[in-house]
Amino acid sequence: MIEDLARLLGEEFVLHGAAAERGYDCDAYTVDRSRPAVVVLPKDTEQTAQVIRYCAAHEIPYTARGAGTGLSGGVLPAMGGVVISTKRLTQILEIDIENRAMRAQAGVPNRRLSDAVKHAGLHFAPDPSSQTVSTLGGNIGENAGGPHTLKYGVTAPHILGVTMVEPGGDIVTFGGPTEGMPGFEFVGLIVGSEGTLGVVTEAWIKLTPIPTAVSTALAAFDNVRAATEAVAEIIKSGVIPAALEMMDHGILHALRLAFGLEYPAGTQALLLVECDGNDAAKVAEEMAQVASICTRLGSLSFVEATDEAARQRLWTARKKGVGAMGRIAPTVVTHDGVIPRSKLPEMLDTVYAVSAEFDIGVANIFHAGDGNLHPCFYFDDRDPDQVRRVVAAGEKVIHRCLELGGSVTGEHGIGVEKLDLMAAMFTPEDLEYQAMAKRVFSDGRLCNPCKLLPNQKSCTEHRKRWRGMAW
Amino acid sequence: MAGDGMVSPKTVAELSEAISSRDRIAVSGAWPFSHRDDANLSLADLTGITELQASDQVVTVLAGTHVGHLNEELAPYGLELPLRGPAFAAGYPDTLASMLSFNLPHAHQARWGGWREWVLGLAVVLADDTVAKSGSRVVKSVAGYDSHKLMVGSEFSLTIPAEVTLRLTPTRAVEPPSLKIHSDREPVWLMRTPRSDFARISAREDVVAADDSTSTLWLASRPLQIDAGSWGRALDGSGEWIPVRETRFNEAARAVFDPTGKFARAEAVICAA
Repeated sequence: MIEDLARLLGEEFVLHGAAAERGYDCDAYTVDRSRPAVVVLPKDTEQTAQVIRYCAAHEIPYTARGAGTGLSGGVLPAMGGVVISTKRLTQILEIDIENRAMRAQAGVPNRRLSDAVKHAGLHFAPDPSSQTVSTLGGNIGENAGGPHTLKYGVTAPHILGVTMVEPGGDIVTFGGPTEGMPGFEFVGLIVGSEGTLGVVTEAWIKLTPIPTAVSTALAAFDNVRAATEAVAEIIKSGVIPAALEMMDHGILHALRLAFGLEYPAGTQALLLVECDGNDAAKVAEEMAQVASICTRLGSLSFVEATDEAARQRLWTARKKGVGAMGRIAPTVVTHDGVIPRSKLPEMLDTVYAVSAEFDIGVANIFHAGDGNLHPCFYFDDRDPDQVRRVVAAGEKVIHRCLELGGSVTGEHGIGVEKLDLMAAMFTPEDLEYQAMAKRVFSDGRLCNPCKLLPNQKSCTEHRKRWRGMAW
Repeated sequence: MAGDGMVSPKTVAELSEAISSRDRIAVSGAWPFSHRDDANLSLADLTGITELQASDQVVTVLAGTHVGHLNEELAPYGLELPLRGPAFAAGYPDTLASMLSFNLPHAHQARWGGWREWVLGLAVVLADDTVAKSGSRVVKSVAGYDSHKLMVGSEFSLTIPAEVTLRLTPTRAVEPPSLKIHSDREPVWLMRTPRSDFARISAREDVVAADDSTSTLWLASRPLQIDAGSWGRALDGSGEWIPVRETRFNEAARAVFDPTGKFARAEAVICAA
């Protein structure tokens, strides 16, 4: 297989051997691992199609991979086979400023898309925390979110069209630069399908004007509950902040250790709020309302900034928070669950109770305005018992999200991590109906197998193997 | 235009039963089906709010509910579906099921998006009468395939929407639309152009309304041709179907979701270049 692929694409487009196997055996969800037989790095759509045709002809499973920043094992090569890396699909193909659209290859990092049109006052609105490295293709696969999705939406509304190699090996295009064309909306189905319907190699993306007025504030609270209540109150008031993010004492502890960041004495939770728009007076008015809610709920401090440098300083805690966790423990599993926003106060109580019950440390840094929790459990993944407790604690948290009317994942995806939880959220009929969507495309058994839907054929045996490789 | 066998289910279970008992389903009153005389399913009685989570700005509602009625119910909570629009929207379908199934441009789309963004979760009845859902009841979820997004714009040809969970907008945040009314003539054609063509095309004499924020035009007559990059469709429900996208997958979707061809297809002209 390795020789065949090297002949097909050229030696320089194929990686194999122990280092490649180890480097591509998981994404940022490291609890489960599985090694690929070979990694290919096609340079364009045509080469990608050649690889998929080869795989289809020889019954070899394949999995597309961007930067590997995913958090649910979405690019884990579950049955081995070929990993198709988009690392060389890094070209911006067309920029149409007037029509506010751009066509780019799937391997372009998210941030580069925005940088390319910044001069024209435009940007690609979805901004996952991984945006300096995570790729357009990966964002499409996972329907990635980010801190500004509260106001601007997740990835899906910003994707106008995609070019995809479908599992039969054909190159097909859905949608295009002019939005809303009548007919079936396949783009909306493909975005968020975790690379299981085909391999997206290019996309038309929507460019959005950058708001001219931006105001950012950081509110400190001496208890977590008051901060979560402030979130619920802000949403209820009808103000729609561009971002509404929360960090708890666990994160602040890590930030202090890693970067020496200090916040007002007694701070147990920080709320980062950003309001934006093209009318500075209106933005100021919204921020004033946010300030009054925070003050009413007893905030220790409320620091506001409108100039760029000061704003970026306020963002530091949010942007560096997860990275800082590395100071506390060798491994962090960032969980992802959603609840109705009004249920945040009681949900956070549950997270701390679960952490105590399973004796696993937890810190919370999350998109509070969307009700999208990210409990970060920190531990040592070389200890099988800790891994088991982390997995059990995560499942308990997610089950509570469902009891409160929420979802098992807001932005990280099902991947392999949450396969078992799908049956808790959906009935067998729901799952069968969703599986029909996959049947619209060619036989996809080989295309990123064992992801998103539970109980896929022959995945059960493979699963035992993934878990065993973490230690 | 009720046919002999017209049925008007009041619950999701009755809707499922109605679909089970028929070989062919054509939804009545749903633009552009209003011109058909073979309609045999009315969603007009499948109405009412199942659950309103006002503080979370989310509502779950039976799909036959009239959009105007829903907004009246939401008004005391300061919430709405941002569909306030000029009078010509009266030519549009008015139930949630029809509106999401036809996914037509509206006056607040540039800022607030459309049905693809608003539908958070959707329960449908499949051709074999199974009731199934995708999505969730929260504002953010990526669990499972977003089959509901495929149903948005599918014109009742894949499944019949039964109950929908919608993201709502605080009324205080909704600003007047950028749409401009040019005349009081009846629009018969809807089109969207690339932004770069909008100024030129909106200078036409037959423009009824124009929305420069989404480059959308409503016209009083049917254009002779569609320019490259634009798309358009008739608003009078007449004419033939001209597929505009990957036809192979349109056919495949119908074969998967409606293998016996139970669901009638809309007959609206759709063109694109």
